[in-house]
Amino acid sequence: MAEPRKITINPVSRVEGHGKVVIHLDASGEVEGAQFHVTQFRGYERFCEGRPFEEMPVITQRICGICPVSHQLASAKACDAILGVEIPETAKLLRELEHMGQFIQSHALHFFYLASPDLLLGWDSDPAKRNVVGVIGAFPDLAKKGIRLRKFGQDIIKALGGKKIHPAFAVPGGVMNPLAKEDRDSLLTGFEEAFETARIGLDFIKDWVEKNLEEVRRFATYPSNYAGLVDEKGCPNMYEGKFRVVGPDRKVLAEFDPSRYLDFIAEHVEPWSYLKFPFFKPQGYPEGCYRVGPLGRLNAADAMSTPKADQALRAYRSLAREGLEGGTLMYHYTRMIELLNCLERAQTLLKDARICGKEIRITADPAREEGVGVIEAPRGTLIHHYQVDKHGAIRKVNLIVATGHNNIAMNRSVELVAKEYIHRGEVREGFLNRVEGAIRCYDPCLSCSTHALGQMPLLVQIFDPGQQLVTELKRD
Amino acid sequence: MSAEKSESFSIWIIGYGNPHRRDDGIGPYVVEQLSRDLGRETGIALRSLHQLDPVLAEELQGAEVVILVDATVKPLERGLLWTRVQPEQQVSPYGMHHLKPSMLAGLLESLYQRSPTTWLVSVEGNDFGFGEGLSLEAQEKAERASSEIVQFCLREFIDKGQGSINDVADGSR
Repeated sequence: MAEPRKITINPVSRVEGHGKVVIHLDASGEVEGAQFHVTQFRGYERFCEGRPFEEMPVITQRICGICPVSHQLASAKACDAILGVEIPETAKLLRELEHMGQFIQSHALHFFYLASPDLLLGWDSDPAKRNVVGVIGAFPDLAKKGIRLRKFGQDIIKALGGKKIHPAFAVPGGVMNPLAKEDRDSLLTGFEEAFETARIGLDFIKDWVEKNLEEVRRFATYPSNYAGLVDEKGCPNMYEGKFRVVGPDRKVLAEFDPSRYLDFIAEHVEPWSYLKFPFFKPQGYPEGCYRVGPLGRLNAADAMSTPKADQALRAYRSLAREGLEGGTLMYHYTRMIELLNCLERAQTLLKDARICGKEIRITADPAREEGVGVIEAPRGTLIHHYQVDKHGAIRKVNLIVATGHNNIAMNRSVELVAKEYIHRGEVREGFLNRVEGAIRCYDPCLSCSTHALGQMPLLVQIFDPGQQLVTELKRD
Repeated sequence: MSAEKSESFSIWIIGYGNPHRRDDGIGPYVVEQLSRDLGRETGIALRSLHQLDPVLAEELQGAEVVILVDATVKPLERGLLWTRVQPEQQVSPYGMHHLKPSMLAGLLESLYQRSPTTWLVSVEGNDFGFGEGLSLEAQEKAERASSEIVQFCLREFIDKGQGSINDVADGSR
């Protein structure tokens, strides 16, 4: 084994969308580099050009079936900026409530359906059984609770927007419908069980991390920057706030109004992927790698905005020391803290008397030719940036989604796993599972990130220096 | 936990597909048609969905009969076909936000020990391009499917033991 080779993993399973992994080996068979390719393309930024800006919340939510609410809200915020309006208080509370429903259903889906097979059944269990059906077989009560928790999040969305997926709710200037008191009262009855399920998930992942500290310390762990929206107290705020970037030591590197994102974030393009590589401008590419999503938000934050989640954050902090906060597996832990936070916030919003107010929308003519809307989607920061002409027709669209922000980080995680599992050209058992697992920690949505469409099992290809295929490993 | 009250429906009719891809919207179109004839029947739930979601399993716990209506690209002799869905204890490795009918039935069985009689009514589509509204050919087939589903439900209510239900289901009439 004396020649450089290339390994390809295609597709990667239990993530949302289609991608593949290519590993480049040097002449001695050691890993030279890794690339997480996103092979799908959809082109939303281009085909939205020419559309009336008011249509954007409806069009862009179709980018994704998991986080349509996030796209709708970021889009509506960008449209608010074009209108130059401050939306009514009730509308803002309702938008945030819808967003909490989105977080609850998305985090529950990821933890209980997508991530739990790795954690509950073990990395090295049979891939044919290491899925949600395997979890149902081994832990049926937990699986049911996961389904019911996801349904609870969806019910919040449906109560507001009439549908669980692709609801019609946020519009430029506010929202379409008020919340009926009977719907509010009905939703409030669901929290006891929801909190119990979130607590089970949180206790489980905390216990898992404590029992697998060495694995967490070793597995795709590296120092990086972290980023997310924070409120004036430094707590993560999923709907609005300042965009904060901290270093590996959690010291603040920058904190700015997210509408100024272009001053701090640039996008690098690689010829082998449709997914761009955003980076923190002051540090350049690829040194300006930062992570968003649950791990990014919590590492960038000073505290949590709600009591139970804040207590959970303190427990996490006491565990996540000495570099462990850079542990990619800690995404699962931080995701459960956020789930608790979102449940607490949703309950608070529903108990606020203003939530059933009737003043929910302001109409206006476009006041500006540009608008930026930024929110925290479940997977991380979501930026919608529009430019319009004097008639309000879209001239230019820029979308940066969570999976894009995490692109450099995901590539780095894959490379670290590959370096641990491939030596002298030999691929150790369990490698494929762990590469997928590393990617899955980020809960990437490739449909969102390329505003795209595709498909994913597992293929490993080894190439010689002349890029000729030497070996192929495949999982259907 | 849910905000939605868990109503007890013995028959669920779920049409799914994307109405923005022309004939892929056959399922939702059939449900719209059925809402006129069956919308007031107690015990029958009508739903239009983009896709089958695992959360549906939770809602279908009380169902005795589930009828799924979906468009198909396959040419069918009568333009539509009733197929009995067998539970499948497997899921797509690609994600968990959409399911095949057999996977949904499998989830119901493994999670809730429930095996409602589940039918898939496949209706042949012709045009799956961008746009709303069915092609004329698909519309005619969808209306026939609606009519058969109405007959099926009426017979279910009148006499559940009638073999003619199976005749419809086998596509022999």
